[in-house]
Amino acid sequence: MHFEAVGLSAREAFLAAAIAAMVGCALVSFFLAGRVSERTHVALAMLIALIGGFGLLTLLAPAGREIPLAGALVVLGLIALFKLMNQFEIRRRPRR
Amino acid sequence: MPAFTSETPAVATAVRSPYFVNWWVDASLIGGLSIITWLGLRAFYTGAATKPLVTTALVLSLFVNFPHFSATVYRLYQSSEHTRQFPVTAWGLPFIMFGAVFACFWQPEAVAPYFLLLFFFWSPYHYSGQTVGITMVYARRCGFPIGRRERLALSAFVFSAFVYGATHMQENGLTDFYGMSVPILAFPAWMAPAAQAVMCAGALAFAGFAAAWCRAQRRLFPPIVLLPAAAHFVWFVPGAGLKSFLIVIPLFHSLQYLLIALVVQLKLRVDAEGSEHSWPRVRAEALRWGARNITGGVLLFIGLPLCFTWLPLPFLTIAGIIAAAVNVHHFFVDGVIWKLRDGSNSSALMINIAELGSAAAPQPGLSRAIAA
Repeated sequence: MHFEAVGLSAREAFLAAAIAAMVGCALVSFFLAGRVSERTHVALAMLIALIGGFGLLTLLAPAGREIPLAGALVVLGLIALFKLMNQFEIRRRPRR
Repeated sequence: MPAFTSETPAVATAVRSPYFVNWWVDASLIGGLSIITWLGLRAFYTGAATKPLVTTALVLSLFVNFPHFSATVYRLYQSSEHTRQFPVTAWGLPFIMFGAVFACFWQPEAVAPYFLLLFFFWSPYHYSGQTVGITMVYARRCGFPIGRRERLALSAFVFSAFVYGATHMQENGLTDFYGMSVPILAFPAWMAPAAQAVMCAGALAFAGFAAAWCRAQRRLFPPIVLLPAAAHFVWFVPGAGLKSFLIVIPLFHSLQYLLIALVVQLKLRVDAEGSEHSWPRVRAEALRWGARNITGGVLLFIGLPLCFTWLPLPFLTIAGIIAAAVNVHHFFVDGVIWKLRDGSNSSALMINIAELGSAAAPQPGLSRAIAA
């Protein structure tokens, strides 16, 4: 695909696709409102966070290759993302 | 099985043996073999030529590593009850994974390296979760209560070992995956010492809880409870500097997984209502499960990449991207299907295989091992 023709770099083209995927997940959640459980909506929201997190990784990791503090922040961000994904589609206890 | 929850169901109190099979099998598969391998490689195989080891690891992968991924998929999709219970994991997640794979194929320079980076850090994080999970299972089987404080100390030790190991591997070791380069991040000089400090604090705190338990119980701490964390330490701290050992770590993680997944599968099938308890039945079910997962593993890691050979990319690149995606999919699915909060999991994780092989119902207090 010649995305250069519309003035997009390879990374920008990927980020556009990632944003489209995030919009898609949000729309699925919207159209399923009232038909699926809250857990499913939360899982869809987490997929949005995952896609967004990966988009940020492709954007920021190059800085982490040059700047040590940015590298540490990238790792901490990844750990936070993994921790969040560890809660993917699990049953939550109702809050009292 | 990265994220067991901390609730202790009632079934946990009825535990009879601390081992799924016996001391030798459990200790070997849970960490003993990996520690022995590390000692052996450290003594005799410190050279940089890792090709023979890569070949051996690849052959073993067909029977250990690949089936471990397949076992997760099999566990999720073998019953419609599971897929109904986790619809986004079962039906939504594969689309996201295929999306990531296609993005990597589309942009092998701009996207694929960062997908590999994601996998590179997620993999040891997942191993850490499994270490905590297995430690909790054995602690429960041995009657050592893991509450909030104990879990915090254990997690501090295990996860900081992962941070130390992963940063060390990036700086000195494994940055190549299926011929592709994983981007190398720069880290501040304080990061490794900070991880080590947290690791030591976690180890000291956990040792303190264990010592208090020994004093209260007037017995020695069961070594099997400490073995997963000890093996994890070897994998990520001294082992992280030994390139030949890094190649085989995934095999040992998979061995841990297969032991527990097999026992849970046997419990599910052999213990099903109306089923006969006998060793031939256990053997038949184990062989059936093993054969299916070996086939599934080959399909995932060899069959699936072969479907994309028409792409203008080297086969190794295609296989590497798909392998990373299968791994990431596994990290998700594993986190979903192994929650101890699920009653079926928690009861299956408390059995000994002999209970399924012998016709008579097991008697509480029969185990010599737990009294030892």
